[in-house]
Amino acid sequence: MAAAKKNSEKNLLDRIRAFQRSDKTNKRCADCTEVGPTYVCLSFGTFVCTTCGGLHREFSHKVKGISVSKWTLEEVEDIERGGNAKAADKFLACWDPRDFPEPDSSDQSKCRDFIKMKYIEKRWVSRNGDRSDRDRFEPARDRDSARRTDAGRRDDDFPHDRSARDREADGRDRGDRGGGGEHLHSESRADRERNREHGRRSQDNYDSRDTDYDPRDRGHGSGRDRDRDWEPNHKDFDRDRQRNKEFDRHDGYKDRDRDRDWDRERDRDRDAGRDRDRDRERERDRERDRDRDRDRDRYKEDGRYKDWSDDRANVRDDRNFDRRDRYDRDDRRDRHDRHDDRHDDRYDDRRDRDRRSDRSDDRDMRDGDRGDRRGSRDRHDDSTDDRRQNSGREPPRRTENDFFPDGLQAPSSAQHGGPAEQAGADWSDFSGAGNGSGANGAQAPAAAPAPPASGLLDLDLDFTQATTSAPPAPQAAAPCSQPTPEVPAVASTARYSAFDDLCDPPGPAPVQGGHAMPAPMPSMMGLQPGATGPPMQMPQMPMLTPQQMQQMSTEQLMQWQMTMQSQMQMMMQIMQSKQSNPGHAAHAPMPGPCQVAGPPAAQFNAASCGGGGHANPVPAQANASPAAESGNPFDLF
Amino acid sequence: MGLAFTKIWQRMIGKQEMRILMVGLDAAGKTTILYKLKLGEVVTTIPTIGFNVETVEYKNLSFTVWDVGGQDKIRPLWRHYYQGTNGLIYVVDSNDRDRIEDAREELNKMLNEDEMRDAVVLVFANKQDLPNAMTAAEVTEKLGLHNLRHRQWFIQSACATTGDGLYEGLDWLSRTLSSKR
Repeated sequence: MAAAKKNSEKNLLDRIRAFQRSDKTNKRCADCTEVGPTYVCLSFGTFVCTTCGGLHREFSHKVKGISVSKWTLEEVEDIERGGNAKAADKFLACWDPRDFPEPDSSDQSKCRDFIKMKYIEKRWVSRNGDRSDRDRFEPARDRDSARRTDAGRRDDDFPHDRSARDREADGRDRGDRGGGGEHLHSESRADRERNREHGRRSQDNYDSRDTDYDPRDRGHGSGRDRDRDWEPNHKDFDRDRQRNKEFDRHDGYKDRDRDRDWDRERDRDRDAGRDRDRDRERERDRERDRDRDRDRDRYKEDGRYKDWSDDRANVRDDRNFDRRDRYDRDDRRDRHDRHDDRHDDRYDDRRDRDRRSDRSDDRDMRDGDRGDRRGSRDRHDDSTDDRRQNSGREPPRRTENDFFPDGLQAPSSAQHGGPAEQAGADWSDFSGAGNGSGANGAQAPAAAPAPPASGLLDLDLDFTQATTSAPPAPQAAAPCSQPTPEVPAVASTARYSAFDDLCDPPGPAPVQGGHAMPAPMPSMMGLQPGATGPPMQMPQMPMLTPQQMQQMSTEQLMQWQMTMQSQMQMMMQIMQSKQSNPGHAAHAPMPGPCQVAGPPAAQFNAASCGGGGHANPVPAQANASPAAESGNPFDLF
Repeated sequence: MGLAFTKIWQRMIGKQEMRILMVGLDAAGKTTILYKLKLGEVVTTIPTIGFNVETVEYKNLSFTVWDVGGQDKIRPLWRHYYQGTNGLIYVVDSNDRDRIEDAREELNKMLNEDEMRDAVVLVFANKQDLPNAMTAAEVTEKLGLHNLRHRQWFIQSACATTGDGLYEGLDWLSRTLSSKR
């Protein structure tokens, strides 16, 4: 049995490899120019390279490494029904390399754009095919979106008229496959695919073909680094770069292929059958819009890509506008051609204006989109990347509400500021620590309005606020009204933070004019009066600013130091005795399962309710919550 | 003066080094979490073959986080990282309901190892930004965390791309590991 299983595992792998070998399109990454793909994107049945595999994972597509994964029979059959050629048939049906040349795997951002346009926006999915073609794909699209919620279930995306075996036998020539329902259209696509192959094989060929086009007409993105890739000589390169610059200055970030599309279609319209063509296009556009609307709605229901779909809605509206406008223009031009050869200035102005506004809208979409989605690893890539970087660092708008559904306050993004800020004594991180005590929140979820476990920042805030705003006298008086207990259960955040302040004050501490020099114990600075309260309240902490220390004499300082040291030692002894004495239930380290997940929302939101803790001067132990560990001073760290 | 306090301070809670192993199924977001913690930004990752290791300073602790690739056939390699591990971060793709069972099996298998008997377990229920994501409670249930005996564990909802929840999880780790020492 075990042998059979082993055998079958190996067989499955062999089948995948055999299938990959059977078609030369499977020997290249489906989404970039990389050769020898080692991953399979199960969502589309394509063979992809490592880079694109990583990018697909960003979009929650299912990706598996061929050799590092265990395969099931269903998965293998799915793959055999798919393949790069099939996927290209579907997702690159209307694609032209000049639209958006297949990216190089070294340029991740371009790869990401390509994948997004190809699979998410479905920009190149065929819409102008004959009836049978549409029938063939539409059900697949339905299933496609259904599958998105159910990643493992993958019905056959491409209902095929032939079995995988047959294809394997004679599938070498892709032109052959246009039997049954996929005549004509499939032929042309196969041709295109062949061309694409050809172009890929010989980069020079590809380039020289492309240089016929105005660089502004090429794809997306800031054209510069792409231009560098294909521009054959420097003179041209410089000239075009100059033009690009002017163009960029004029229009900013733009959607070039749309312009190119427009030009091409205009040219084609000039042909003999332009009226008919235009009608057909109109029809096609309408259908495509309808489909996209439906897709968008589905996405929305599904919810996963709602941020995009909103943006896409904008884009499409622009497109509609643009298109309608284009028809108008066409009509006008026709009249123009027919009746008259006057030059229509208004027309040109209008076109330019439209084009500009379209682009700026588009740019907005793009920025927001990227900002929501990802940052990028390399900062100094180019200007667009910089922009994305910046917007990427902004607190993400969309997640806040999604993320904390129960209306609890989201943690301030400062808490997640990252290690870089942390190094610079990011005090808010400390506060996040104390507040985010999931255990407390979980165990006393109902106590959410009660003061949550407060962190060090609370005290620090009090410290600074007290020193800056409140007059010194009442401040000193208030803590004094609390006798400092000799019982050294005083080990507290307050004390630690006091020490921490001494060692490394968070900012320039204000000078305390007219402040009496401290006798050792009475607190100079302490909790605000609000701190007094329920049984486990914290005693005041003695605290000195560096300025105060400066003013103290050496004797005073030494005295102070000794007092503090003795306090410290006492504290440590007490702590040790507590830790070694299990009879003291409240302070014993928790054995066994201690951190219970708690009620559903509370668990996650436990982290978030700390946001409210900042303003609350009541320290953790004043909390009525039965936080079992709160007696253990280490827990506060 | 300050020096004396600093010394005491350091003696009490100096920078302790902790060895953390971060594992989970493939595409759970381990590498993204690691670099979000380390760099504070979202990097483009590729499927990890082998491991990534970074030190993350947090609070009084210095975490050495080992992020080991999670694809099926390289999961047996995890055990080579068990030795000396103080804490385990187990990352779960909350959106992947199909494979949560796999995740449970892998976790149980790992926790039964003798070398892991002292390790505390932090579970990140990652990808909470996706609308179909399971809640932390659901993940808890499906992973069977309540059945764990003699184990300190904690589950934290997280979203690696925004960073939400990551530091809360580290908080728990640092508190728990500090008090264990």
